[in-house]
Amino acid sequence: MITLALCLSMLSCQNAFAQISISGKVMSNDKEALPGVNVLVKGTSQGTTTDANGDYKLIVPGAESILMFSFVGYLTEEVTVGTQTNVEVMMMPDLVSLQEVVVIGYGTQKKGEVTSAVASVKEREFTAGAMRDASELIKGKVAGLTITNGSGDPSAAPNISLRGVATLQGSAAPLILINGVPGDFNTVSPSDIVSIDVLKDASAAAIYGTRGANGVILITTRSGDKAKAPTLTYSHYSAVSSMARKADFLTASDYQKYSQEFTFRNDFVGEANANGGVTDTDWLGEITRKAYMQSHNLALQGGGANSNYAASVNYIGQDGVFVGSYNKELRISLDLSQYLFNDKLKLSANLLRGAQDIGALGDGSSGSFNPLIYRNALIRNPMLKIQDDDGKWIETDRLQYINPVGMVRETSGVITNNWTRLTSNTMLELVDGWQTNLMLATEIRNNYRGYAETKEHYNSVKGPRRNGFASRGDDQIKTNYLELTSKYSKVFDQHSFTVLAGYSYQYNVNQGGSANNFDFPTNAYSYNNLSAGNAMRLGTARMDSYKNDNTLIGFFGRVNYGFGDRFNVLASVRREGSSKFGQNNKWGTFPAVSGGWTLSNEDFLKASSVVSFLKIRAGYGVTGVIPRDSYLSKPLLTYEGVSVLDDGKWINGLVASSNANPDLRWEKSGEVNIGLDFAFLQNKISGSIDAYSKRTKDMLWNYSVPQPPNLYSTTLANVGEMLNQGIEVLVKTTPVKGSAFEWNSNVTFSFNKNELVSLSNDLYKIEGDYINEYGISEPISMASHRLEPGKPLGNFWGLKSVDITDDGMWVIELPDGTRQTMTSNSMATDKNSQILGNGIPKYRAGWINTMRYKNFDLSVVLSGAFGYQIMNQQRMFYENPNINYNVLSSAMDNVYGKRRLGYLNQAFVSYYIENGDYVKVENATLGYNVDVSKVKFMRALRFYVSGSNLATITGYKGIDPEIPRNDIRMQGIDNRDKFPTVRTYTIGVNVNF
Amino acid sequence: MKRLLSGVLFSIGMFSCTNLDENMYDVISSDETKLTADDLTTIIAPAFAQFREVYWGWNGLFDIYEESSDLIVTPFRVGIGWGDLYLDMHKHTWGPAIEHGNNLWVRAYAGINACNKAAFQIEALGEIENKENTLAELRALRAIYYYLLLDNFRNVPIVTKFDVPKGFLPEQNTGQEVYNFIEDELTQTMPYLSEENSQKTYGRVNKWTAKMTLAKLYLNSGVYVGTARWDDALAQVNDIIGSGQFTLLSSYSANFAVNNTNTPEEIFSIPYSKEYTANINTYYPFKTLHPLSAATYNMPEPWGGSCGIPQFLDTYDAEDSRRKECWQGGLQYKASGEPIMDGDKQFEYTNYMTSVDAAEYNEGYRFVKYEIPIGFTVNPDNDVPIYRYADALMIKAECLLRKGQKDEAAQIVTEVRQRAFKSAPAKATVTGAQLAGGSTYEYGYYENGAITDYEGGADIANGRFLDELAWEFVGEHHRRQDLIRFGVYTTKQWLTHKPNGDYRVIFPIPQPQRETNTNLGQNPGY
Repeated sequence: MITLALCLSMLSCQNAFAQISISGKVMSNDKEALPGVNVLVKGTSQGTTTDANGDYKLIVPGAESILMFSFVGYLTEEVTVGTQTNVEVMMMPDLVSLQEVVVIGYGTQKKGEVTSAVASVKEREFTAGAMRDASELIKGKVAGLTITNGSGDPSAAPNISLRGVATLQGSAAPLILINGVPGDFNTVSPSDIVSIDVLKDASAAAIYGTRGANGVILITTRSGDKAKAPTLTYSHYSAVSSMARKADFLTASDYQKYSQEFTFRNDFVGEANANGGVTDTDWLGEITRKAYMQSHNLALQGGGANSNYAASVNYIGQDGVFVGSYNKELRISLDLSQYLFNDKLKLSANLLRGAQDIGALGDGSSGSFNPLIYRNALIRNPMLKIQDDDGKWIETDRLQYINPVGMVRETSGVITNNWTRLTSNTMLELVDGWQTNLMLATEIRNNYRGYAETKEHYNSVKGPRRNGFASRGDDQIKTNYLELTSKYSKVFDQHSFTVLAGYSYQYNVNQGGSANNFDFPTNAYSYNNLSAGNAMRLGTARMDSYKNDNTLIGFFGRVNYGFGDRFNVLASVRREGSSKFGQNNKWGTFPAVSGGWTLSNEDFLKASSVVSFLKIRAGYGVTGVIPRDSYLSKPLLTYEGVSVLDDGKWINGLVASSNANPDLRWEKSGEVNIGLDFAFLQNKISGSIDAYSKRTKDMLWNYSVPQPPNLYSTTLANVGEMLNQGIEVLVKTTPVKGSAFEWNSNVTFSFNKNELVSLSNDLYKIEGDYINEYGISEPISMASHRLEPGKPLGNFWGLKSVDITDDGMWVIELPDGTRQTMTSNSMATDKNSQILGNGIPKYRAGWINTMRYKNFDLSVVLSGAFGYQIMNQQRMFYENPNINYNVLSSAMDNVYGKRRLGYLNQAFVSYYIENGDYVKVENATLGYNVDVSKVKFMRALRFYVSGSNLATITGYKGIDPEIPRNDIRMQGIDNRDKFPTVRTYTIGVNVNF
Repeated sequence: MKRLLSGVLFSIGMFSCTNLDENMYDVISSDETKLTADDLTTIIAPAFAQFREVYWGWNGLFDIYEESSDLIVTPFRVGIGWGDLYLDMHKHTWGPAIEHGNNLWVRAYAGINACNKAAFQIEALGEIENKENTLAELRALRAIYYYLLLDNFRNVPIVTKFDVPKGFLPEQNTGQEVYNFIEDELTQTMPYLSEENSQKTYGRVNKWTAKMTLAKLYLNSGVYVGTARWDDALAQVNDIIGSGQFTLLSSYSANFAVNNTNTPEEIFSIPYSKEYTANINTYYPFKTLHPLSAATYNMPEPWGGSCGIPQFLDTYDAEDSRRKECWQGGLQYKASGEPIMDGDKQFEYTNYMTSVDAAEYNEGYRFVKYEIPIGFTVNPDNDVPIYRYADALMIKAECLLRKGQKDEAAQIVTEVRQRAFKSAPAKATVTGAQLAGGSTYEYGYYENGAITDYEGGADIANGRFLDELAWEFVGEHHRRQDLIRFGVYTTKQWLTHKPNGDYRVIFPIPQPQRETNTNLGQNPGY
């Protein structure tokens, strides 16, 4: 490279006259030397590039010469030489660079050449603060990508969906790939991530075949740069969280106040008197706390002449707001690359190791947060004492009514997760432009669980009376990956193309087991000596184990073709097969094609001072959703429950546990996407607009089948059809840009319309062609939703209440418009029910403002969802003053302004359906960059304070309108036991050496 | 180097290039499982095991026969729950979607499918020992499942083959066809069935089981096909009685004890075991008892739902020990004998109900006919006697009564009653005239402990015999059938139940079944 620079300078020598020799250094804004920067004398072909240290030397024609420094991802700088002989340049990153590289799966593409709907969020745009996982970095920043946490559980994973939901019982989660290997948002530490790219439409995602229908999220981590001095970064934050909002239940004094004028049926005073007297207990306060969290992150990266490396260690220690819940996580990553034979061969290895301990208050793998404890803290008599004089937990005979403090204190449990991933890449570039890469990777994820209840636990003394309980369990997921890709790129004249071909193989084994035992002689063993219990001997304890595997194989190819910076076409195809599919449908084909026309490079727009960039795009692709479990197409048999007594002995029998479906296959989505990318006024305003229509066919459902002739009453079959259509808008603006003050403001907006098109075909039909979903638990047990062809998912289904009678009974408006008083819950038949709203937001928006004033910077992230309703189950269950338990203080308010409810039991009526629209301040971060130019060993120092979930503007009466969406078919339910969301304040520091 | 590398890549690629076989570890599939003559019991096991689910599956056979009758109800309990579909059973307001109906259909046909499949598998084994007898037993068992379907749905499809073509949808048969099919199957297989009544035939279908089924078919023949066949029913039970293989136990409750396996009184039973049938077993102690009763049995806390209908409890003679053997009521005590306290007073089950829509937690006596063992944790061990000798005797008595031989009938009833009146033996005796008289059940609409629209039972022909059946067979899948045969099911009021149409003597064809099999028409009235 130096030779080349010399040659160039010698060439220029021959033609030059009053030449001046210039040298200097080019650095990035974070004082990193930038190698490979193009340095050009403006208006000539004279130029050079910077070397590994960012240095350059150049002979220029004279003092009036202008030097142009350009580099991918940075704004071009121009400097007039004048009298200088040493020109040092600091380059600023280009926030809307069209040269910027976008990760598109099995490769990258320049942003200007992208022809499908791909969103890219780079490190500098990530949200700062106490980040639980990588999803929080980009929340609100990708139009159409919905990330809902909706829970303050420190170990809960967020719900992610892209462009609506296109499945009924498959997964709605996008495929997440970390450096090309499947994982999740928690696999790597957020601080290791340099970019998150989202393949939104099928023309981009089709290369991932059966896993692409919900979109693909590509996470790229730091890998270090060749020939770069080592940098060491330490970052730390401490945070404190508390419940953002608490459910307002009657306190002891409220209760006494209302008792003067209202007769409670729950006899709480009597209960308290019978158990040591009336007192004032804040049950929720007893089981919650202010929770502290801290994180340390140390990252090192750099490179030698033929190698580079990056390493990091990340620790998070976090308490949950509920006593007993916590999350401790340690993640280590190491990435090494070695270049051989003049860079023709590159070998890299990547190691990732994570370990996590979660405090578990419940049994089983999802046992971190025990909703029963929270529920009982809400509904328990506030006048009841916690313990009696002997220190025993006070328990009474009320049904499903447990001392929550006792439950926390008499429980111990931990869930340990650890994951190890090893990846190797061997890349060969024999001929310039032809790269062949072999990736081999293996990942093991283990989960170990232990849970114990003492002999003083409720379940020991009452309820199931187990006299001490303990369980252990473990799960292991092991996956091997092999991926062979070969890519050839060539540019000639106006034509440029890249051809890619590849093969991918993925083998996954899941196995594990669990056992429990009870009736223990002592509490001392906790969950560490299961054999000490008596229940296993008596045949009432349980154990189980499982193992299954699956294989996914794909062949794929892709062609990108560009013509003269104006036309780009991308076509890809994947042929993919999975062992999960039925015998007749093992393989599927997933084609895609897309094209773009960059209008701004046409003559008629080239000169425009308004339009900096304008491109229209269109694409179509076919993607799939793979069934979740293995063996679904097989006619399975089971021995379970088929023992028979044969001559005094019990003998095992064998019976069908599923019907065969050799036609079982993937759910198939075909999606059209039309998009527009734009930038105006020298990139002051830029962004993109996308419109899509995604039709999903062959949706999986467990169909009831006639029995006889079928052996089993349901068959899993591909029948249903769903349509999602929507618009996504991203606008990035820079209203002010000065040297002292800069303000960037970005807006994302998305609209999605969902329609369930069909549930039946000739062979498989749904009873009545609709499905009622039962999302309301005991003691109400009523239908909450209805799925019906021609209607969207998420429709609430029930009785429409319009008034209340003088007796406190609901007046129901029937579908025919007549009114009827509801005398019992059995009125809620399908005939009397109607659609009461929809639980899925039609519109979502994000608004991100970042401001920089001198050394201060401020970012504020707002997000919102609109056009949907929420079923407020906390009100449904606890806004009736006559029930057996404690109630919300709003239960004492008049319904419809008339009187209190007169029923003894609860019911679901439309009174509990509320509008969910909200705007939320997700995050606000104020940072200060200390000037360390005089400190030799330090490159940067930054302090910041940050707040998450700071404020919510909403008319919703529940705790938080941002609700979890785990259940695809019953969206919009705000569960009464939902772990309340938390508000977090963070203080942090980043040091760069 | 390049060659070496590409060679390595190639071989890795080829090794597993396109192999998508599923390896099965924790499951087995019928594609790969081969059965031999040694697996005979394994092959027939599902056909018999299915009966457990038919009976004690949730919302199963027990509830169909008791909760739609005048004996047992699951009211809505204030602060606890229940009600809804359980009350549809009580009020006879069910529609084609009622879960009980579909459950019985699905479970009984699963049994029929299992019989057909087992027969198919046995045929495939070639020549094996006892082949004819085993096939005959499977046919007889299948006829019993069909008998349950006939009794509840009447017009059901008869499927006798396992290897049906793809897309095959069974055709619906008339009640008469199903009736004839059951009669033919049982008659034809009778010679091949074992006459033994021993541990070996326990839980299996022997000749006496087949005869009991035929007797029941004939007993209800008038209801099923409009022709009474008292003599035919009588002939079948006479064979059973004449075999000398069965006797009445001296204790009524011993029939329902935890260890009630293979007693001299049982004719056909479903064996249950807390170890081997843990997935399906009786839930009844949980469904009926209030949580406070956990202390009586040192058991896990029950859920407090169903109870006896007060009007029925009032019909018992004070000296009839069966009332106490079947029902738990009054003041409640712990296993240790200490009183169970409910707040500051002793916990008490009352034979009273405010309303089925708002019953208090302690209202109604609890059905505890099946012995609840002290200290049981999940499941008790009691087997369910489907047919017992007392039933054969009472069929004989009814046939004689219907034929006008009232006093002979009374002799048999007296014989059955004797063990229930050990404290007052004289009261065991009934006369033919009494049996032919009315019922003592105070039929009528019941509210807050009072009968508001009194109907009584004096007008019921052979009403006293109907009462006898209730006292002897409450909770034994009898009452719905008996009420129909005696013309009470759709004509009388009890508790909150009002007659709701004569067509309700059979259930509607379940909606899910009609949606999946277009050949199925709906039963009249629905």
